[in-house]
Amino acid sequence: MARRKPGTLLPLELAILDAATAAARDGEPDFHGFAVAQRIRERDGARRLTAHGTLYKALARMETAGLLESRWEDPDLAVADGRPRRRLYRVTPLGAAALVRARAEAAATEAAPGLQPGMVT
Amino acid sequence: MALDGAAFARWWADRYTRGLPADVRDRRRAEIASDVFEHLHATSAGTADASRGIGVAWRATRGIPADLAWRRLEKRAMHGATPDPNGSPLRNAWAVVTQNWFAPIAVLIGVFDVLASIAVLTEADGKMPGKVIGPIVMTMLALSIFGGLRLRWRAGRARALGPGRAATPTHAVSGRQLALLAAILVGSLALLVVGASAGAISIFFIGVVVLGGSAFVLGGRLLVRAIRSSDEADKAALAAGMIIVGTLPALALFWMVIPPLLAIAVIAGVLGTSPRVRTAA
Repeated sequence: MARRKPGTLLPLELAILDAATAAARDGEPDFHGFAVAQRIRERDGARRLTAHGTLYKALARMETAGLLESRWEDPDLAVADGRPRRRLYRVTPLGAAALVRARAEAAATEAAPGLQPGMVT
Repeated sequence: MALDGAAFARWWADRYTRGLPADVRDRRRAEIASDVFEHLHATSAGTADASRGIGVAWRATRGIPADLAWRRLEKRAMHGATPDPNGSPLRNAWAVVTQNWFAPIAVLIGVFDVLASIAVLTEADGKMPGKVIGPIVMTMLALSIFGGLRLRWRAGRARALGPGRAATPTHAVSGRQLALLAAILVGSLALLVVGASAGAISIFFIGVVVLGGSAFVLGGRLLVRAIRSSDEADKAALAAGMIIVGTLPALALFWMVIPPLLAIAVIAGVLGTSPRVRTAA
């Protein structure tokens, strides 16, 4: 796998932050794996959901990088709903800042197609 | 058929998480179980059983390369000392010794500290100025090693006991305190080395007293606070500090070659397997 530049986001990471931020705007700041996979599919108009391995590896990596934080939900809630306990993620201020920066870089790239993000001019 | 797809996804999660640390393994398995459940129930309306099952199985199958890559990373982090194929044999051997064997070596140094203190205490016509305080400091440093190892073991065990138990972290050890501890250690070590090199017993003695007194006051305070802390990182940092402090007598015996080498191996092992390093791997 090609190494990425420090501080840059992979497309899936960007999609996760984007979907999570949209969910937060809808009043759901905490999200679980399947929920974000669904949002990404709807956002991209894709037919398939992100694969388990790809999704959870990315979530773990982002948590390690400080872009997300996570916790287990209250077990009583899960028992009451008759389902397994969810691991709930939330975008950290660092993650929100990374998303803003990535969007700004994408906008700058669109405005000046000859330049690549991070290129020194 | 839906159950078949779910069973496959769970079976595969059980397979690729086998042999990983309990906390990592249980978390991934629980997340997959939750995801599969949500998937089956979210698509239940108007979707055939067969389609649901295939969807879950296909998501699991497509993720296999990422699962294997993730497992490889976790295994590497778990062992810490995976030989680098590009590294020299000596370097790889050093990594394995320090990161896999530092705990038994640290115990050896702790036992050495205790035996040395007993030897000084029982020496018939000993002329060392630290006849009384020396053994006390050495025993304290041995206890520091054993306490640090125990704290580290308990912190690892708490992590392994599973997710969802963590309370809101309360930090026990500030960066300023650690810096102060490091400064005292470096200063007292310098006094020990200068005193031993120049044959100035009084300087050596002052170094021993400063080291012992500081370790007792500051170490004791940090120990109590870290034990009360709910943040595992605090406990791991304190455990590392305690073990490193305990190896200092062996490090001070620099002319004997083997003890300082063992001390360096322990320090490298403690720092090389700290949770921060593990997370970054």
